[in-house]
Amino acid sequence: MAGVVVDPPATNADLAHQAGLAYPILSDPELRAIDAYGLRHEHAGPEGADVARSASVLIDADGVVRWTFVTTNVRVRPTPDEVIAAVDAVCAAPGRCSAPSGRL
Amino acid sequence: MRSRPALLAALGLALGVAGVVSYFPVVIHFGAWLPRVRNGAVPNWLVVVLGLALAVVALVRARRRLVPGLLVGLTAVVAGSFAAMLYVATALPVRAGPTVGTPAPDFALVDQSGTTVRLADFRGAPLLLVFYRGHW
Repeated sequence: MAGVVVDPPATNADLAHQAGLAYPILSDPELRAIDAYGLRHEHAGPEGADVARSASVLIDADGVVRWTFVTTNVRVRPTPDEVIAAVDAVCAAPGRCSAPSGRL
Repeated sequence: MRSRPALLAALGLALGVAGVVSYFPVVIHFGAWLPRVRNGAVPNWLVVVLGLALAVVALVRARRRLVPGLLVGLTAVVAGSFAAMLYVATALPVRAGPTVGTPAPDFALVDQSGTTVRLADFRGAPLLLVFYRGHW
């Protein structure tokens, strides 16, 4: 698992420390990856800054997108059950969840 | 005796307000643990609807309907405002995001420890990539 956000690494380090997050939080201040994934949310940040649309993207072991949740409401996120079901569906297919690492 | 319908209607309004107001601390403090409440606000809606029902019952039973009627109206405004907040004010234009079945776009981004991380670093294992609004 990895997070992507416009905030700088120092801010993300503080957040990870405070929240006890063990996964990488990737800083994308220029919204390059956010744009590549089509997830720019224009003028939604402080002082009209662009930020990422809240979204989750599940990528299989071969680097192929297998599931997405792109919110259509600021307050709505996928539930843990929905994410687990998506992971289970991906891993049910041979080879898509092949590595036994704990990165997900 | 005459004030009972008004009191019942006032209780309905109070329940309506409580149902709405309680949504915010729940989302702020417990949203990560109560995702279904955060997404659907079902418990809050149950309280709001109960309040509206009480207010309507009070209005039906009242002989003098001005005060209960006003309270029913206020409760309906509270419920309508809650619905507008949940489903209109916070709604976003639809975005497709990346297409399922296509290669995920590559990236090279710096993590919180200053290390550059690429999509290829995760190759061989599935990856859940979560995009946050940020500005924490």
